[in-house]
Amino acid sequence: MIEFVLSAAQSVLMIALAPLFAGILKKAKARMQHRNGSSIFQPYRDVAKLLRKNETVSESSSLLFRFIPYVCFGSMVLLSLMTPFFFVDVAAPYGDLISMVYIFTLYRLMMVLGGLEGGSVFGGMGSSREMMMSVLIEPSLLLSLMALAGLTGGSTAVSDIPRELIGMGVIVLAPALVLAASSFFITLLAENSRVPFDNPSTHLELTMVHEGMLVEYSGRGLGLMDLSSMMRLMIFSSMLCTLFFPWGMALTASPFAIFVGLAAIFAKVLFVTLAIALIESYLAKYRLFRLPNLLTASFALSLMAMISLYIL
Amino acid sequence: MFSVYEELFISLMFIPAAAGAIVGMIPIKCSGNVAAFLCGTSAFFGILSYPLYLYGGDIAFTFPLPSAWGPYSILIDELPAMMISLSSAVFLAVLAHMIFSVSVSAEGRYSSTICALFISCMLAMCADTVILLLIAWEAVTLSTFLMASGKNGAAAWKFLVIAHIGGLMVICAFLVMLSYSGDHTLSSWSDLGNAMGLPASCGAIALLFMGFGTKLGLIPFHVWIPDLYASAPTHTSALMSTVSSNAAVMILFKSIFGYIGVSEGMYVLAVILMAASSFTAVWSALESLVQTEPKRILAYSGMENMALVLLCFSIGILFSDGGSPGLMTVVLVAGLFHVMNHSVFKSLMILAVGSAEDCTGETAIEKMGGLAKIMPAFSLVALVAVLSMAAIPPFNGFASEWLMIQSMMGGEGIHMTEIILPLGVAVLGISGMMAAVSYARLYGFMFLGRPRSEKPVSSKVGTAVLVPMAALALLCFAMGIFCSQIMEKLARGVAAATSIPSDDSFVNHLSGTLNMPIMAGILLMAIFAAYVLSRAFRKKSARSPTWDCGTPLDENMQYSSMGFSQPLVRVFHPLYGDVVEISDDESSENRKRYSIKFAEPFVEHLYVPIGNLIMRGARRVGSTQNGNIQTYLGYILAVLVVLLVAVRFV
Repeated sequence: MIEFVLSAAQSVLMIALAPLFAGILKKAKARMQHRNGSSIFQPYRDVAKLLRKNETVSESSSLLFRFIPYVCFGSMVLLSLMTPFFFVDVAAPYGDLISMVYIFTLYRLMMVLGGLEGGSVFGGMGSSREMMMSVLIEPSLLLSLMALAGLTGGSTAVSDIPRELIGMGVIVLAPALVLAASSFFITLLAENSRVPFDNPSTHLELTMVHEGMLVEYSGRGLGLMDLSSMMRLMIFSSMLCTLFFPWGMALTASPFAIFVGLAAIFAKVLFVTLAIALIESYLAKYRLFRLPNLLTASFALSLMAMISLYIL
Repeated sequence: MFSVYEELFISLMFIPAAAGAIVGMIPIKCSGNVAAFLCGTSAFFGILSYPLYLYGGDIAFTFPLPSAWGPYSILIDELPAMMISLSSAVFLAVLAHMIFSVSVSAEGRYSSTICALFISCMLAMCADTVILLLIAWEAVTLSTFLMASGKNGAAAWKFLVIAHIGGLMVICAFLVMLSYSGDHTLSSWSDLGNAMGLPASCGAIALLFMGFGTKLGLIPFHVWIPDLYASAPTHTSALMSTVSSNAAVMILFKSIFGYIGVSEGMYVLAVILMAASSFTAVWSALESLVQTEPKRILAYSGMENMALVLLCFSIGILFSDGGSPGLMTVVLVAGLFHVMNHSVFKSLMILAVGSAEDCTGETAIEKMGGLAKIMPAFSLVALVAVLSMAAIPPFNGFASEWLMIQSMMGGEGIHMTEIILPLGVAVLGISGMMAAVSYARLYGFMFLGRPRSEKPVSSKVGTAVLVPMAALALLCFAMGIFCSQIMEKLARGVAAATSIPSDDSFVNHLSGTLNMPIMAGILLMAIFAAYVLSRAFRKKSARSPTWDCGTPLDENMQYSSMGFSQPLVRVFHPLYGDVVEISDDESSENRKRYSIKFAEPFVEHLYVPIGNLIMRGARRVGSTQNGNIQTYLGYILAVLVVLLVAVRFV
């Protein structure tokens, strides 16, 4: 029972902290660019304000458009129930890593259809580019998770993997894990539309991908979509921090373990967030047709992870 | 014990359809609908075959017909019963759609060929003697040909030729198997591979794979598929891509894993077959991105799905070398489950596309758009089909793709498969995602956005056609939710149909990892909760035109479907054929329209050269036929001389 309460609490915490880490990311970028930046709590205010506003939808959109924000948000809620955060058990152990990948696909497909809804050129362009990237992301995402499952003995159940990895000790820091994790990090950047794949801070420019699909949303719909994309970044970061580098997670429900788990996960997610901020400050967005190279590199990394699993 | 009921059931399943085939020939006005209704009756009883199997066990029957080649008998055991039930359900839905749709009046001849297709497909799935199987398979080809030869004869003839090449391979394989077994009854065949030896069994498996591959669209036998889909009536494509594919996969499965039986040492064959099916999967997913007609997109996506099924079968062969029987069962279950799912969502999507085409009178995707506002209910069922095709949880396409990936991941660590299986997963990921892109494109450009042509849209399809479509959509959802139960039943069927020892441990382990009902429940509840919570604060919601920098929007000022797939085309450009046509129709009002058409490389570099070669040979032979009586007398004289000389010296 206490395990279930803890795992439910960690999902709530993940949802609640998603805007905070988005704010920290923005703040860190601003500081690296010698700006003061807005407060780290600004995303909370933005989302709250958007949720309170009236919305305007395009005349040419159908009923589906109204439901897309709810579907996207709902799928992210489901994923946050399926991802461990500071405690090793998850609240909803009803799907495995592969189903998580496909729920991300649900989110992306819905967003793409939303981009096509208004019949605007911006939306179509964003959708088209997102789909191009997702074709290249999908195999490397699946392979990096397959390498992870292979490393821990073939199980794809989410809460088995951290346990196995911690149980294996230092020997687990094999090339396979490092390669798979670096491949996963590249897909994290790509999936969450970060630099160098996309520039999350531009609106209405020819470079945009993610924001292009959101052009037609306003008010409540936009608020939910923004919140969902923050949650997506949070879920990806905590997947990286708990599945690939699980050390410090609470394996039991004792107060000390929980304290250590909380501290560890905060430190790890903060580290990932700062790494993203650093990359975004020191790297320009790539040209669209240079992106396949980077994604192929990610694919090669995860394939090498698979190979090293059996050769070394 | 159930023999009376068996006879009753078999006659209820086949006699109405046979009567329908005859009624359809009568040249009166209502004969088409009567025949379709009779066929629907048969299909309804066909659905009962699985419940009957569960109740009374195997259903066996011998048709009282004289034959020189052994009796015509059928045997419905677990797998055929499941397949027949599902195929009959799909058949019934398609027939209902045909009867209910206002715009298509069922012609008598067309309905009678549908009846013939029903009978031949069902017989092909449950045939128990070689002769009946081969006759039924030939009848499937012929009735498909008759159903398709409507508007465009060329495509149907192309199909007939290629399907017969495939049929020849199938007949060869079965004759080889028959010569080793000596028994006409298929159910007595098992593990013929031991008697046949490795080379002969590998050859037979390869022949079967290619032979049924011609029907399923294995490259390079796929050239007929897009043309036939584009030109045949909607209901022909719907039945052809689902029910006859089911029959092909069913026979292929039983022959490879039941009759011949895989054994160690088929490693090289398995790798070759894997390469062929992976290539087909990726290739057809790529090609589907540049098609401009919805039905052609669906044709290529059908090929992609069938290639994934063939990939599963070839991995099943691979696992015979060192894999555990449990793992082999899982990968075969994944393949069979996928073909079942495919028949549901693909028939639904073809029906939706057909209705949309009837409604708009257009066949080009660039002329559609905005249909979701005109036919909202259609767009909803089409959305279900698209989501299942794109393997989105909780729909059925996801369940089978999940099982495929699981089986490949589970096979990790088996000797010699270390690098092959990750590549299989990569193929699955990349072709699945490309297919998802292509479905997003199909749905987005047909149903969403603004209308792309000024033609008025007539909604003459009627609402009654929604009933069968909604039933299929529900089936998509139900098969996704209850996937674990279906997988268990399929695993039992696979164990019964093959000599693979039944090993439930893997299936049980897997169905423990994924709990679809609860996962889907949480997802739906989360969506519903988000909706209710945000609706609680009632806000105004205004409608306004799409934002476009201030100029008035006309129908061309939106993304085109070719533009949508252009980034992917540029990334994978070496794999596409040459651009054959960039047209620039300049009309009077200084408006330009550009369109791009890609050549199908296999037609251009394989079939056209073969055709040219044959034509050249024919011309050379033709030059000897000059119509001059003296020349012919000369030929006769030459033949006589040669024969006399031959007789003298032999």
